[in-house]
Amino acid sequence: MRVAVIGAGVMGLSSALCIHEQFQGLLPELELQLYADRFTPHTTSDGAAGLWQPYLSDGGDIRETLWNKETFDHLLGHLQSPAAQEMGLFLLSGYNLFTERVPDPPWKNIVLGFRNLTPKELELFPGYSYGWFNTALMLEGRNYLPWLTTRLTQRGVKFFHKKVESFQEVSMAGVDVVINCTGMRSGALQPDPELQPGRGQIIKVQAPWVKHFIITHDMKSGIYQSPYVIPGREFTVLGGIYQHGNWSEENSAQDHRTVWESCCRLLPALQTAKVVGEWTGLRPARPQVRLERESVRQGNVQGEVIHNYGHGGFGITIHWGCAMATARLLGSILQERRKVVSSPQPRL
Amino acid sequence: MAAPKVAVIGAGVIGLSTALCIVETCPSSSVTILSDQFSPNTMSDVAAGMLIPHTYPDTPIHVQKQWFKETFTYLFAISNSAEASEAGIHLVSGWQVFKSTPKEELPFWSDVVLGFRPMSKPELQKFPRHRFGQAFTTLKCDCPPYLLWLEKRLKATGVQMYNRKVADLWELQREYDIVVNCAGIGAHQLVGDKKLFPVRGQVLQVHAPWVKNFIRDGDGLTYIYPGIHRVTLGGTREKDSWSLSPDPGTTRDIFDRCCSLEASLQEAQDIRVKVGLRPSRHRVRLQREVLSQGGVKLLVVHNYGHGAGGFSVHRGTAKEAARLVGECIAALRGSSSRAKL
Repeated sequence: MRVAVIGAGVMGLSSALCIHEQFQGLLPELELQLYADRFTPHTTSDGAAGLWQPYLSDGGDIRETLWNKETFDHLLGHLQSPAAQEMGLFLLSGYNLFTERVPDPPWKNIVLGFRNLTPKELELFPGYSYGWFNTALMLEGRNYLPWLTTRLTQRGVKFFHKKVESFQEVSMAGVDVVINCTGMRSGALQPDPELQPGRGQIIKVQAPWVKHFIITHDMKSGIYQSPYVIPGREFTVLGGIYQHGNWSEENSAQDHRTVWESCCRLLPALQTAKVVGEWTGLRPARPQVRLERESVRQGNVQGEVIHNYGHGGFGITIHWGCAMATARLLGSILQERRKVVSSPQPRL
Repeated sequence: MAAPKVAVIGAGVIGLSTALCIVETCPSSSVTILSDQFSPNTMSDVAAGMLIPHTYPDTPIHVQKQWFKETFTYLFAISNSAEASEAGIHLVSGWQVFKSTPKEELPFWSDVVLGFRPMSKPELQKFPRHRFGQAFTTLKCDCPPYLLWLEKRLKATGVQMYNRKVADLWELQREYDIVVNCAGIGAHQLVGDKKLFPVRGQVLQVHAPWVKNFIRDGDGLTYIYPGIHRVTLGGTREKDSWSLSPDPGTTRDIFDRCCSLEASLQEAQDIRVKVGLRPSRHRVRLQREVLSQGGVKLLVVHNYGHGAGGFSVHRGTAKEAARLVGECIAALRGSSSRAKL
């Protein structure tokens, strides 16, 4: 039974790990492969700041809120383990700022210590009249992806550095199930007009005195179009760009200025921060995450594809819940093919 | 009368902040700082500089609260400005956890720090040995940066600083009109204050940049305070110990206690051990004194004995000391105009 994951960002690697953890014991003949044209540190996930925080509303999709919660709880469980450091996982507290009163987010009881900001705290942020404080998690891709890769390699998962051009290509090579974690470029494998780039640009600085994340919101402009500051282990990320439909992966001088000026207005001390890098990434934006099975037929060949893409700017936030859902879908496929001899469902 | 000459003894956080307040409130005076140590070698440099007050048994609570509030407000404004990183002042959030619920669930300073509230059950789950906790956001003054920033501001106003060990206040009588004693633990010898005693503290300063929240055990003995570049792990409270030498057994013990609060500290690198002597007293000595010897008077303002709470109240006590210096100056002017009659 050959399963191929396409994509080596946070979705691909975590789906592969989750599948291997769940099924390897039950299915010794499971052969897991991973194909990707980009590996860490060159994936979209590597550039993300790594803060666990969903969008302000789940658009009514309770599945996404559940997957977010599963991810948070899973990561929280790893916090005290020796692996946390290597994973790039740590607790981080901080602020969400608004210019008007907003409803509490669906994730208020998932994070720790969620509360409204006091008037004195708001004095720190002139121009903002409302806000939240909570403790969340950071999971930095630049550490997490290598950690996942090591775990997969130790488990004997085979990696292939290859740009896959079609699902059929993989099915014809003898793969029974394809897990599509190709993120932004899923459209190249199967057109999906709902999948659009949400271009972001960030500046990396040395600002070790910043110990909180600060995310501002402009309810009229939309998510990530207002300055944010996220302190990582080695450097702090400044951002505030979201351009729907812009495919350019080049850094723009104008966006640099926008981010720099707006973040320095938010935190004046940033003016003295040293810039150590700049990066542009394309958030794989979709009205809803695509997480579903599909039978893809070409001639005599019927292949099963499980799609797991379209996580926009909340990939890290939702990844483990999606990996588990992907594994469950694989479980149903295996069940149908009666490859799973003993019935008990994998512990999910 | 010519510009009153004021000597401030001590260049730790109390000496420097007091000198600055004097310059601000008594602009006519000429201020000089005399100290046998300057940053990074003062006792203040060992302190983590967290704004979490220590309670002095014999100072009225409303006074301690006023000092803390003034200090917090002053530093809050700096933390919000472009100078924050140079001054070493930054906000930090975290938790104070207790193995058993404290008698006083609301300390006197709970409404001065930001967002003070009891910890939720999920938050307490991170601390299985602790039953109760408080979450809040406060400020931290990193040293040396804060002391160096104070020195820079002082030099800009023309204040001179000299490396000099003052053995006796009377040494200064000829050159200075007013002496401000901010000698910290040095006051034990300088003015023979037997009510002043050291409380030895050993700390580890480590590289662990993923630790962004503070954690403090309510017993005051175990704490994790993330600074700009290093995290301070503490500590000890050894009354009447004058030893400035690091103790390796203590180092191991501090490290273990902190790792039990924050397991990831096992991966901390580049551990540096420091020792400081908290200049402790049942009440901060903040008062004027007129010394007399052979018909000659020496006006003294004392501002020492802040123990574990120096950073938390430094600006408040510095302002009060400056006010007392102002009274001394008025007294000098009064007596000099009387002398003219």
